Amino acid sequence: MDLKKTIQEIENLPSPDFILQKIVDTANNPEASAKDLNEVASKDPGFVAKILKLANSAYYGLPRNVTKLTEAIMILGFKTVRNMAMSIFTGKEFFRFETKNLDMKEFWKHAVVVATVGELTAEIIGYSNKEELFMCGLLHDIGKSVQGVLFPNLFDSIISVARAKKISYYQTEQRLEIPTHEIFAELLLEKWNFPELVMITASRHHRPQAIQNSIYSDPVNIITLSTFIAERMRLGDNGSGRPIELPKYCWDELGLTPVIFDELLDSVEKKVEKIEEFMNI
Amino acid sequence: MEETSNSINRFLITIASFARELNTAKNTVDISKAIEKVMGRFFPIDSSLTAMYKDDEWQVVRLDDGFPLDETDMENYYSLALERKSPSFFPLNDSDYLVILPSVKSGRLLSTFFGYVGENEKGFTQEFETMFGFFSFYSGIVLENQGLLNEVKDSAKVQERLRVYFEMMLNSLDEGICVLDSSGGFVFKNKKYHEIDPGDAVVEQIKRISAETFTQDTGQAVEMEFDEVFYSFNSVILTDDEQVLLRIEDITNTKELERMKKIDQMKTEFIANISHELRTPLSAIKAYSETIEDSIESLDPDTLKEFMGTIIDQSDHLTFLLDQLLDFSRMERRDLKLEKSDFNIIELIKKAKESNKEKYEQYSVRIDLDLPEEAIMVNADEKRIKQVLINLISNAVKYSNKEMDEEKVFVSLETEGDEVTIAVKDNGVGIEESEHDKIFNKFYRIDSSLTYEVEGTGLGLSICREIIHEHGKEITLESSPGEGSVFSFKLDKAKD
Repeated sequence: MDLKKTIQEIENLPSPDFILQKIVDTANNPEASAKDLNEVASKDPGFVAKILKLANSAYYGLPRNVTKLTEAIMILGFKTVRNMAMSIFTGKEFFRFETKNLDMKEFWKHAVVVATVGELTAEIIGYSNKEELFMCGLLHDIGKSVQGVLFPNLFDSIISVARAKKISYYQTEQRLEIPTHEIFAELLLEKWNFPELVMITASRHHRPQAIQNSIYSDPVNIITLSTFIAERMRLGDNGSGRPIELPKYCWDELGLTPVIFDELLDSVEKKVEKIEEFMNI
Repeated sequence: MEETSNSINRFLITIASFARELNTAKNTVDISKAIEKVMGRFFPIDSSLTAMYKDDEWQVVRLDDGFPLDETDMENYYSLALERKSPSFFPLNDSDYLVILPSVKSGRLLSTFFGYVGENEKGFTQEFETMFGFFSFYSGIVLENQGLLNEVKDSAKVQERLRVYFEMMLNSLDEGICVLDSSGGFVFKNKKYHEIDPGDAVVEQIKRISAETFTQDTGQAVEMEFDEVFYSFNSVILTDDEQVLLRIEDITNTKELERMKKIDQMKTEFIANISHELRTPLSAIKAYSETIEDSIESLDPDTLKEFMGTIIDQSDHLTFLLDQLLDFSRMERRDLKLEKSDFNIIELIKKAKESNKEKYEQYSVRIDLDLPEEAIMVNADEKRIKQVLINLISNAVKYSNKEMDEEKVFVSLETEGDEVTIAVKDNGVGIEESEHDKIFNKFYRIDSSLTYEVEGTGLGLSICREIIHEHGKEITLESSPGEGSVFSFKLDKAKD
């Protein structure tokens, strides 16, 4: 496969529009105010309505309905509103392509579940930047979407081989010696000029050892663990023929114990019951 | 770019202030005050409520007067804090907000600060979100550490109470208790131990017994005398072989009591014994006297003389027994007075042998004398020394070994300087080493007292020892079972 050609093809994929880009930026800009963001977003009332629908869903458990984006931002925070906006955008643009071998609803569920597990894991192990892990989880398999949208036949054959050989999607990519979905994710997120954290987790979650001892080792380990949990709990489908193994150093590095892990699985089960609204995006 | 670096600086300065405030915080209320103080620099907090979340219950720990939300209103915000575990700025109306700042550790909500903000003109920026997210996280860690610290303190208190309680119990005991570690160092001493105030020699024993307990891997029980004080030591291994507990008891009184009991028992046996001893001659005297009275006419002079002789012999024996009793009672009163004179000890030994003639003939024991030809003059109480000699020879005869071919008693005398040594040797049954001291005790008899196999009051040797003792000498004994015995004592020679 010609990587150059691939890069050109990626240019043709949908990009976050101005409003979404603004939302993503403000989430990282300390000076950004809720009012500023509200002014930008009001230009696309449909998008704002979708965000408010998510904000009022059981997933966030607010005591009363929020009717304004500023309220949603103040109550839930910039980063969480950003996460909702990203969910609406990617859910629509990257998890609805034509494929024979993968149920898109299940593929989307996998993304939302890994995002949810990522945030819960961060919370439980005491990683303070938990909202970022939602976005990392949401976009961790975006490279597969790139493959699926640009090269549908390739995508379908990877899944067929993975299922027939009972090996993981990533192992199949390696055996077939094609650029992995990690590489596609990196290309796409670079083009979008997204935070490095999101790009690194999407491009290293199958080889967390490659990023150990860096500032990104915790988030990458968390996303690897979240993928593992989603696959083992059979929540959604990511086209794999066999669930991944959890590297021991992920477990050790995150300071997990059977008790903490058990608590995590409990909270995952409870939270996943509330992802219904995300499924309807 | 400049804006961003300003913002990072503001962030770091705020975090530093918050860390400084938390540095002196000792409880949830202090942490709540720290949050209010630092947060109040960004927007005015009119009033606040802080509640701890523990065991599925909310408990208000700090509440300002005028905080506008009541318990029912709070229910919603409690559940929001619990659900989100993230800071939140909840608009209550067009101008008022509720700042919710949960303190979270490892996914567990520990406590939440709820601040009422009347008017926030500055507006809500992303900076607050990041900063308060950090407050939430950091206060959670401090709060949990406070909780852990309090738990440790509480458990230390409980331990202290238990320690005092057990120490009180140990101090109330009437035994000295001490605990030693494996290197022989004292770990604990109870009050009684200090009262006993054991000297160095005792402490040395305590360490020895403790070491013994470790090597033997089992508790030890030892009784020991130090300067006429008897101690009993009992040891037991404690706590996985690392320490030994010793109980130390002054048992001097118990020992004395035991001794008195023994004497009492011996006295009882003595009375039974002496009655028997007195009755025998008395019965004989009575029987012979009655026979003489009944048939005085028909008795020929020889028979009569023989009967009368027996009566006199038995009377003598009776006198001897009564003398012995008298001597004994004098000894008890420490009233044994010696009447010393110079006399020929050789003669006295011969007389003593003669006095026992009847007895050694009765027992078929031969008495050999190995004495110098010439007279040896000694200075002593002649009557008493005779008594000693008679007694020793009598004992030698009485305890002769019937299994021997020839039963012999050998009395010898040697002179050495100013002293003479008189030894009475037999080839009789012999005496166990362990009995050597005891046989000199009052009332003590080797055979069980009431079998009367061997006659005697059990006072003889005791009196002998006392008499020799009064002369400033000692009776010594060499003997072992089956080997016979040698009793010997020394006397001073008469001065020329």
